[in-house]
Amino acid sequence: MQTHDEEMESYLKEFIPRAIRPLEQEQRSPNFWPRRLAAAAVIVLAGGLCLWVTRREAETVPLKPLIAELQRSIPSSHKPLNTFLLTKLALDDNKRLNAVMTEESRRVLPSLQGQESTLRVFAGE
Amino acid sequence: MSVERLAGRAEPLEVHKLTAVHVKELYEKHGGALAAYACCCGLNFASAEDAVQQVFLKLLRGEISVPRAPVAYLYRAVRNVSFNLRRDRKHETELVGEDKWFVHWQGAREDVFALQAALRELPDEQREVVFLRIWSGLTLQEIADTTKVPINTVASRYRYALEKLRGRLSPDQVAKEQNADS
Repeated sequence: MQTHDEEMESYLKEFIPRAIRPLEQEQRSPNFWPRRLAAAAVIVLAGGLCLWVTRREAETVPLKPLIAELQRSIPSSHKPLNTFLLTKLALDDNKRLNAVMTEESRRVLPSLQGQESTLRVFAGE
Repeated sequence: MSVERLAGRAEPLEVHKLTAVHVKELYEKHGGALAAYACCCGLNFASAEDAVQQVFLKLLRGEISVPRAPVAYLYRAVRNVSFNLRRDRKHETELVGEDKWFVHWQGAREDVFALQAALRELPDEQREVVFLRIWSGLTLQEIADTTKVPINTVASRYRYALEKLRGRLSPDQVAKEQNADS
């Protein structure tokens, strides 16, 4: 029995496992980390530049005139005049009525004050 | 410490991480046998190579710790990876029967295919013992130590496996080979 086993063993040892391909190590190229660092630096620089330009523009353009312009462009809330009061004013004090109406017209009608206003342009033509 | 030393005395409870040099030594010494073993688990040779590479790359990266005598552990790991790969790649064309995982020194192609078929038919535990004994060069005592199986069980598994192989591999031819040698 023992002899049979030894014969079989030696017969099996005649077979050699087929060679396999070499161990493929995951090798990163030597400039892997420098490339990553360079990419990160570029991203940080671009972000910083954008931030700097944005802040610089905000500092150079004066804000107060802009706000004033904006407020002028927005029509003020128009409160309709009280007809009863106007009638009473017309009966009692004609001069004051004229003053109120003049003031109201300045507020409601387009202004001719601006150098480039549309009405002035039309008037010029 | 050499691979032979690592593969020898068993200290089953002690685990450690192998150095890159040890991993490469183990790969060169046992890679082919492990690939053949993976083929027995139903993979074609290319997939078997992938399975072995997976296990050894994990060892190289230090992702797994191994016992002091790691060879039996490697067989178990390759078997597990092989079953996973086989499940994942079952849609691929099966070419298991056409692959050669062994070469015979006399180039006996038919004998190679006969051996491969016979090995594939062995039960897992018997096949493992045969591979560890014949193609990884462990003694039965070392196999018993590393697989944590009693030596008598290992010896009987080995004996049964050889009997089955002898039955499958035309005993006359085996005897003839032996006589020709002597």
